[in-house]
Amino acid sequence: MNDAEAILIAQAQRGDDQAFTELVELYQTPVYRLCYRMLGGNIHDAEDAAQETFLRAYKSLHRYDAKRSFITWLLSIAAHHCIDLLRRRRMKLISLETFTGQILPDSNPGPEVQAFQSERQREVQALLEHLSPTDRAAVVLFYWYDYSYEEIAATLSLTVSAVKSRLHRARRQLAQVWRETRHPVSMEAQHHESPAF
Amino acid sequence: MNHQPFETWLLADEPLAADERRSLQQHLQTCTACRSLQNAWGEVAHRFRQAPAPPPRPGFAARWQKRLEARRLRMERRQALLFLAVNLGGMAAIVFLSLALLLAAFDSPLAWLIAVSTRLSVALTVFGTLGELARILASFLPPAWWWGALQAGVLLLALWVCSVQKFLLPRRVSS
Repeated sequence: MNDAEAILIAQAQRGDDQAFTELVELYQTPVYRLCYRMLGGNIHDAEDAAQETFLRAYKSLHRYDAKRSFITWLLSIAAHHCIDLLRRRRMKLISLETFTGQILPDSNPGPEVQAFQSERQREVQALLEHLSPTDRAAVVLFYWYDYSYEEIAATLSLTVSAVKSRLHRARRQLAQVWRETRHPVSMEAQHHESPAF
Repeated sequence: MNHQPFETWLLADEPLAADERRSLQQHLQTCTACRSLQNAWGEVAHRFRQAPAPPPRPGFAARWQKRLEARRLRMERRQALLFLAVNLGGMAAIVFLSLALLLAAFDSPLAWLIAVSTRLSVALTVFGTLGELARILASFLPPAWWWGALQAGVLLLALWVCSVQKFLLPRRVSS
């Protein structure tokens, strides 16, 4: 967090709405992307959750401790909100038809690149859907935000060892889902395989 | 089937020691399950790298401001409704009690008059006693004490007003 951001945060804490709006401008993308990954790649749910995250942050800004990273604090609110949403709604995997056309590419690539990106997004979201909400948040923060174990622990209110074990379990689960959906025959062969040792 | 510690090593994100790496390579040559796990995780990680999430639609902050305004308006309406409900409830309670008293008076007016006059005389006696007590206290206590009590009262009133503003009224915003 640089000095300009610290000043904006201090101004917002004193009730300056314009300063908070500038903070929204600054941090909208990471917050939105976390919500997008957490909520099954649905852009409407992601927008709604990201907006709600900033409203909650605005409401509890007086509780923000300036010694903490502001983005970690925001992502923590976003992650907990998405986890609550997923637990409450028991969100189902969105259908392929709904998902098609919802991809908003970063730039303006050609149709082939767009189709490729859409396909990749679908695959990734389908994989993430198999994880529990908290495991999903840990995976998203680790792989798309390059967060350390300590930062993930601080964001999700977990211990570092819990983060490590959740990530390990998630990787194993993702690999298994991949094998089962892509190579069911080879999986069957493995069941008959003798122990390695 | 036990594939430890190879499975842990395969899924670890930290670099392995040289002997661990060697041991894992040897194991992978003979174990198809671990090889399959390695390939599967490699594919998943590859897809993670190739799928950056999209940014929000343009105008996100403006939509947020609108939502904030709508939320504030809803809060204000809710508080106004709450205020109205409390007042209406109080008025209903007063009307109900008054009606009950009136009905009792119509049932037996003499008993009601006696009860009212008894209560009035008790109230007058209590007020008289309190006044006497205040006069005695005033003769004992120095004027500075009364001044202090007055200041404490004002302070408590200010504290009450501040807490009402902080906890009940919605946050006002400078535009």
